[in-house]
Amino acid sequence: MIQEMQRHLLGICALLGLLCTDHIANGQSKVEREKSIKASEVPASVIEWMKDAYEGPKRIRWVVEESDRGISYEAKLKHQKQWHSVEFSQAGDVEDIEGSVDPRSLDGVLLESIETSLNASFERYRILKLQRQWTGSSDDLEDAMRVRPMQ
Amino acid sequence: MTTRYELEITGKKDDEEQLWEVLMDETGKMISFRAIEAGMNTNLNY
Repeated sequence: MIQEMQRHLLGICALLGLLCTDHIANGQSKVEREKSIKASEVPASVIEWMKDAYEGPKRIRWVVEESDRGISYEAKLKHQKQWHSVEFSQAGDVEDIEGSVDPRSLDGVLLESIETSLNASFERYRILKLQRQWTGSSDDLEDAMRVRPMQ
Repeated sequence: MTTRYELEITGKKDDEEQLWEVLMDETGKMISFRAIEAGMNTNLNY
């Protein structure tokens, strides 16, 4: 009787282990697919937001990204000599803006702080790419793009 | 509105040189870094 119960318990433990492993594996999987689309395939609210924030027509490459979290839209454009990438949710809400930054254009205090942080964690390093990322409300992000270039 | 910096670097750490993705706040203080190839993630919890 006890041996039978032990077998049952072992079976339950093995099943739980399998379920946990599957859950962890699924949690780590990230499926992303990007494809270029036409402006006509982008929600009208997104087009309007871009017109307001970037003031006027620009050459924009539109991308739709599909992942396990859903669909998002991305506008890639050059603005004031820097590459911008603006991400929108499926509903057309702006989520964040990323812009390429030349490290030499950064404020001296900021650059020093970045170098101090990197020196504390790495024996040596070389910066290959630097991006600035803005997140916030739609209005704040729109204002930020209108009034100042990305540094 | 929040500003952050995302860096891609080659960096040597623990005698191993590889590609890293580093996230910093607007003051240049490190928030986290991650080895891009190994997928290792180190959150510094600042």
